[in-house]
Amino acid sequence: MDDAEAFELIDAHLDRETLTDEQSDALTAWITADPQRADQAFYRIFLHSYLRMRLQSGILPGTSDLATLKDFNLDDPIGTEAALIVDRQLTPIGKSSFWRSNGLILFIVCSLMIGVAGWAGWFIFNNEYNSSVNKIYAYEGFDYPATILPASDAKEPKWPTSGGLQGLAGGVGWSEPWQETNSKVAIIVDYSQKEMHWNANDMRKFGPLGYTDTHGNVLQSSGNQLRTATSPRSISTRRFDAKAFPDSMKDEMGLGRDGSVIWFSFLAQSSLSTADNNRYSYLVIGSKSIAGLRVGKLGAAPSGNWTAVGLLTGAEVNLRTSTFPSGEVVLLVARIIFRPGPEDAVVWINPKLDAEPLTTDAALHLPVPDFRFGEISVHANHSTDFDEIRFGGTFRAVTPIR
Amino acid sequence: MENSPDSVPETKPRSVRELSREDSRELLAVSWVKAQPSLTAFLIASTPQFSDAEDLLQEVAAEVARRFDDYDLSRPFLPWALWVAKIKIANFYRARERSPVKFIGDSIDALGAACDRVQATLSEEKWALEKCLTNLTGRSRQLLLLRYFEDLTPQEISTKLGMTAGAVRIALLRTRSALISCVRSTLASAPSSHG
Repeated sequence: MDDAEAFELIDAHLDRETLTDEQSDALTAWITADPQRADQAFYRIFLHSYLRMRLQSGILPGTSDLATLKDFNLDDPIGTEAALIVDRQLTPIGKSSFWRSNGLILFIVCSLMIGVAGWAGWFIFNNEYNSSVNKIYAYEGFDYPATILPASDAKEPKWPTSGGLQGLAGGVGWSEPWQETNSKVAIIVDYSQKEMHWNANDMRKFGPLGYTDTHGNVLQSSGNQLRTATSPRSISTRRFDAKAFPDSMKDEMGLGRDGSVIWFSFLAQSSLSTADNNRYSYLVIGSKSIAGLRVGKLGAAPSGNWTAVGLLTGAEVNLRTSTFPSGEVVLLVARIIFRPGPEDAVVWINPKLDAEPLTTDAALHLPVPDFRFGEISVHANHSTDFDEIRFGGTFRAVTPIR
Repeated sequence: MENSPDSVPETKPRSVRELSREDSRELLAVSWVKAQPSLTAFLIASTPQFSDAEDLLQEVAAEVARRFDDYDLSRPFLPWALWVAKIKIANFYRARERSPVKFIGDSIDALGAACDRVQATLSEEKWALEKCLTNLTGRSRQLLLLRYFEDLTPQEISTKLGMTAGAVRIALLRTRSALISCVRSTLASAPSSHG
């Protein structure tokens, strides 16, 4: 057996093909004959392992896939040679000497013959592929009818203690309706209804939640939005439908298996600083009593601005706070890489929507104690608006643009 | 400052039990992070599916943490963790009443030794591999994503794309070989330039 055949069999094994006993014996003999060959075999296996780990997020480094498409005939192994690495330093493989010597000429001929068909095939494939990778796992746009507030003699409407978000079951990727578990409830608001008597500094009077980046890309958003309660508080919780998430994200403890990546995003606006009076309004995944992540306005943040913090057995750990001031609408986009040990959480605030932002451009970057999640909660003790909550596997999945 | 004649010579602890709890946890974390890529590759080669390997990796991590007090500090960490991994692989097949894949069963010691030998160079390999991945063209990128992100077999990819399974296998084979070739040339042309 030569090296090329050995690599072919290793690839076949790692691609879940069954090797015959003769192939297994031949491969074992090749590997055990020489430590150098065993090392080569292990490098090959490592390549599979690294690609699996690296591509879990669905993203490869470099330019956009669309920008580098070529006209290939997928049924033609000749054409594959040109689809590989730009520097074209190909390693010989078994049964390919003919193609190695003649591949370039044949590729040019074949490309001319089938170029149009290749383009068409790839266009279809690429669209199908992108729709699959950019699939959203869970979405809540709060597009419900506005909550009717209880009648009140006072100037300000009375805040409801029941109803609100309780039992609403729209969106996708959820296994249960929203549950309200505190003394007041979060409500659905329609910006065009002017019941609220806004404070002079409350920016929410200028329009509904929405986001346009500095390049003019507009985040998809529509309909009504969520508003949390004040005095004393609301806690709104909803469980994810685990079936909507890929198997690679799950283990027996929940969502967030080591090696997986989750992206989530939401729009928010809170007009008050949380630096005073222990105000808070945040979104949490995971568990306060075990471990999790809070993102939003937190009472512990000294500046009162948008913040993220890890949770561990009831305590807040690794608090990171941003310079984005209270009052403005913000788009928060978070990525969590679940790893053995602490998770790696990154939060971008108002990122450009053209492409996945760099980690170095993140507003908040923190380790979060090892955790799993199965639900999302919105906690607040002052009025804050939230909208367009998205969970997905990629940046693009959670930041669709119009 | 020189030691006085009465000073006690510093002795290295031989066992994790002699370390403080904090030092022990730190040592485990550092050792695990270094060994994990090699262990993952070893488990992926030894199990039928990526998801099996990922499950086993967690079991190995838990077992390593449980047994860490028994780890002999005078010996390298990876072979010890590989020993734990081999036990878990054997348990994996025993629980399913299946025999390990013949190729792996007969080669497991040779691959374990190779895993130990190449571990020190894997960080450079990863650095070069990242550079090479940026050079992939659209077609190869898509095939790799279908294989590793969507976890499709070549047969499933062929069905999805309406092409022959053989063409998919050859395309994947060549992409991997080209990546390894690129890694070799990248490392050869930029020795230590990446720090």
